[in-house]
Amino acid sequence: MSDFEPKIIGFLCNWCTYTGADLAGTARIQYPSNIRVIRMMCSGGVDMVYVMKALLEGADGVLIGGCHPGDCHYQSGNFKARRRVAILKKILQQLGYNEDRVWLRWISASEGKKFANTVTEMVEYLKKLGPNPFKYTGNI
Amino acid sequence: MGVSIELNNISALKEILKESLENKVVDAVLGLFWDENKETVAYGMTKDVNILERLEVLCPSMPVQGARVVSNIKFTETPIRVLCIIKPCEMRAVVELVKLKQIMPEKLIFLSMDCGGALEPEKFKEFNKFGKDVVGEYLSCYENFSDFSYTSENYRFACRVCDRCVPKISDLRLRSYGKTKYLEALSDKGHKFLNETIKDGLKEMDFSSYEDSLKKIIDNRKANKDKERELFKKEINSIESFTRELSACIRCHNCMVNCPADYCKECIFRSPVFDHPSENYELWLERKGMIKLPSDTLLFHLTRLNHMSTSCVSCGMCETSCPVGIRLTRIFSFIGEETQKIFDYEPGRSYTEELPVATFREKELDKV
Repeated sequence: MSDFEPKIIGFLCNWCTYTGADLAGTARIQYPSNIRVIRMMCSGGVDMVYVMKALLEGADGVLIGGCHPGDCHYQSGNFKARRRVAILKKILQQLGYNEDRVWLRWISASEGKKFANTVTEMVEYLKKLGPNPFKYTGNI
Repeated sequence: MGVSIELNNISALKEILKESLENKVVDAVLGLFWDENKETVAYGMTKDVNILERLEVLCPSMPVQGARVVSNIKFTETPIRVLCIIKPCEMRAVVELVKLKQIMPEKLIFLSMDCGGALEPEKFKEFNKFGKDVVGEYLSCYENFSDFSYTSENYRFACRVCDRCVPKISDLRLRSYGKTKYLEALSDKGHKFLNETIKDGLKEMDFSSYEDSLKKIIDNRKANKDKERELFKKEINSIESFTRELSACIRCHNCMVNCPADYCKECIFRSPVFDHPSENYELWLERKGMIKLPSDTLLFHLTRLNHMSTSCVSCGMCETSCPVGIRLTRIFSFIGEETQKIFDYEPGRSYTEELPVATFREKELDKV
């Protein structure tokens, strides 16, 4: 399993984490290229159906990035996202699926380093975990 | 404790309903009515006292979710006062739909009963058709304080494991067990209804011995629920077993259409999002080797779990309406319990408790 390269889908908030990822780029901070980024206007706009879809299609992990609590551009989107992720994780856990394939992280626009570290950490974690069991099942 | 009226039998309640219609305390009564052949019941609404003869208050059938029926009628333009007779699980769904602004309760009075459960609708019809006195047997069960719903396989699974068979929040509660029944007011609206309809006989009563006998029934069902929950958790403990359980799903959306909590008009599953272009199927074949058709059945149920499990009132309508017999009550009720626990929320418990997905706390869920 050493050559397994996990695929991560990142739903990043436009105002914080996406800008943070941009900063990581402009500052030329190195991090693994396993993440595919989808820019969202707010982490509160990430419906869990998108996360489920990504996992069922075979993504090994999903990273949802939002502003720190209290810093949301739309006041409360990240708080709502937090509740939704809590529900999603509980459901996955009940179904015996490793809920830690879904990460919710608060990364601000100035935290390019934190973004790079988070992705690196997540890739390492997923490499240890192995491929997503949904990857090869046609039952979606 | 509110005021109550003693009823010698269930027909005495019908007399009260007739009186309330005649005295214009309410404009209409909504409940389960027999069809002409006396084979099956369906929800209906009437202002005619003669048609009220066909009303069955204690009826072991639940053809649709009553809350869904109530929310389908928009009582906004012509605000007639309607007395709605619904089961406790339907009442819980009403509370959820009021919070979701799908029911305007101002002109509605809800009467709910201590519920003995319901048969699957097809069983109910079959038994009646072949001359079995289903309702008669049901009523005698009530009279003897006995409960066969948790032992009889003919009853709906949701009813067999229902430990919330007592209405906690309706306007009127029919204490239906025992030979003598009692109609109790639980709210100001219910109190007003009784005062306006009934001339004498209203008094405060002590129900402690009734509650003791009722507790035995509830405890039995609770034990049954615990047993079934344990079995479920042993059986559905992996994504493989979950997929297997859902493998028969034909994505007809019946469970969604009949679920009272799935009210959303903009639901993604009511849209053409899942009419995939044929290239998608090609990609799936390449990546996954096979694709189950109709596709997206797993996504459908997982999305429903995410979107409505915190409001699941465990009425079991999903399972009743499933044409391929997927054990949806277990899935939604038992997983719903867990998601509700995160927020210490119980659907249908109170009108003021906020829906978990509609609100948030600034300090909570640190470890998500």
